[in-house]
Amino acid sequence: MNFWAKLFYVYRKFAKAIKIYLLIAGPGMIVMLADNDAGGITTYSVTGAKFGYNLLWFLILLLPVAYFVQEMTVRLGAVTKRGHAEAIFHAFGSFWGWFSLLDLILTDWLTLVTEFIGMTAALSIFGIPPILTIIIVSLIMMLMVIKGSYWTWEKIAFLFCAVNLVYIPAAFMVHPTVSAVLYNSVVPHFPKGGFSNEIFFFLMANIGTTIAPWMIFFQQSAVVDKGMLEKDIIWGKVDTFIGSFFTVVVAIFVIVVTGTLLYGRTEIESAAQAAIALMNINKNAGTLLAIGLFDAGFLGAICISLASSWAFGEVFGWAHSLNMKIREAPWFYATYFFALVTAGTVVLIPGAPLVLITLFVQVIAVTLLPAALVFLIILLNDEDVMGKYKNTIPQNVINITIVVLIIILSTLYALTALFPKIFS
Amino acid sequence: MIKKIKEYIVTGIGNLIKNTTQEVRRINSRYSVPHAKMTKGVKFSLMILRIYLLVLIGILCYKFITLL
Repeated sequence: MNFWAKLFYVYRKFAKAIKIYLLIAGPGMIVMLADNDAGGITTYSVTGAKFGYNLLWFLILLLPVAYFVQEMTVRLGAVTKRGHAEAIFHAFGSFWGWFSLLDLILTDWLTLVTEFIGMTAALSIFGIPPILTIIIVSLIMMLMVIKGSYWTWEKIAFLFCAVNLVYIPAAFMVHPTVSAVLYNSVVPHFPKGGFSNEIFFFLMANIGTTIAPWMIFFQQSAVVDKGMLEKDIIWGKVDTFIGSFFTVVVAIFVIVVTGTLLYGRTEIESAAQAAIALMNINKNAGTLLAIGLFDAGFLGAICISLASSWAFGEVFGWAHSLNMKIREAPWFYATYFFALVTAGTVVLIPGAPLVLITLFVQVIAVTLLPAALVFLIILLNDEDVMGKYKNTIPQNVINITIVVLIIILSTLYALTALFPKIFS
Repeated sequence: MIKKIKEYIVTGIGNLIKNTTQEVRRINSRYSVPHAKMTKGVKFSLMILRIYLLVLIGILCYKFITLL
C-alpha cells in the first residue's frame, strides 16, 4: 500500500468514527451543558466577581469529577436498559425506590422554579415581562416534544447548547490578561488573605453546581430512550468527556468575564445583577451574559422536567419516550407540562418565597445526591447486572473517592446554607 | 346543578385516590424483593445511608422548628 492509499484509509476510518460519534452524541453533551444552568451561571458569576481568577484551578479539578460520575450512568443505562429510578426500585426495593422518586420530583420541581427565576430575570433586562417569558418558554418546550421524536428534541437541545457557549466570545470582548488566566488555571492557590469560610462556601457551591441529582437520572434515562447499546458505551463515554470539557470551559469563561470587569469593583449576588453591572462597563459582554443566563435556565428546565417525567414513567409503567406522540404517552407529557407550568406560575406569584426556594433546593438536593451516588456505585459493582461492564478496581478507587468527597462537601454546603454561622 | 358538580368532583377525587392507591400497591408488590446482591458491603452502605438521612432530616426538622 502506498502512502496516499494509507492516508486515505486513515481518513476513511477517522471519518467513520466521527460519523458514529455524531450519531451517539447527545445525552452526555446535553446533560453537561445543562449542568451550567441558571444556578450554575449565578455561582460562577459571583465567584468571578468576588475572587477574580483565583479559583479557576478549582474548576479544572471538577472536569474529572463530572466525567467519572456521569460516565457510570452511561454504562448502567446501556447495559440494563433501565432509567435510574427504575433501576433503584428493581435493585433496592420499593422503600428506597419511593424515597428516590419522591425526593427527585421535589428537587427537580424546586430546581425548575430556580431556572424560571433565572430566565425571567435575564429577559427582564431586555424589558420582557416575566409572564411573557414563561409563556414563550412553555410554548418552545411544547414545540420541542410535539413531533414525538427524540432526534428532533435532541437537535433543538443542541442548538441551545451552542448558545451556552456565548460566554467564550464575551470573555474575548472584555480583554482579559491571558497570562493571568493561564497561571490561575494551572497553579492551585487561594486569593490574598488565604483560605476562609467564604472561599470554602464558594468551593462547595461550585461542586454543588457540578453534580446535581437530576443529572444522574436524566442521563441514564436519555441513554435508554436513545436506544444506546453496550457497543455504544465507548462513544457515550467520549460524549460525556467532551460534555464535561465544555461545561468546565463555559464555567471558566463566565468567571473570566465577571472576574475581569467586576472583581474588586462591585458586589453582586446573582448572574442577572452581574449582567446589568457588566452592561454599564461593556454593553456587549453584559448582553451576552444575559442571553447566556436565559439559555442556561432554558437548558436546565428542559432537562430537569424530562428527568422527572422519565422517572415517573419508568416506575408507573407508563409509556415514557420522546419517540412517542402525545396521544401515545399522555401521562409522560402531562407530567412534563405540569412541572413546567406549575414551576413557571410560582415565579409569577407576587411575594412568592423565591429566596427560600433557592436555599431549599441546595438542602433538598443533598438528601437525594448521596443516595443516588451510593446506588450508582453499588449497581456498577453488581456483576450479575453489569457483567463485563462492572467497575474495575481503579474505577472503584476513583469513583468511591469522588463520591465520598462529594457527599462530605455537599453536606457541609447544605449545613452552611441552613446555618450560615456554623463554621465561623 | 351545583349538587351534581359537587358529586362529580367528589367522585373524581375519590376515584383518583383509589386508582393511585391501587397503582402504588401494584408497584410495591412488583418491587417487594430487592434484586441487588446484598453483600456485607452493600448492607453496610445502606445502613450508613439510612443513618445519614435520618441525621440530615433531623437537622432539617430542627431548622424548621426553630424558624417557626
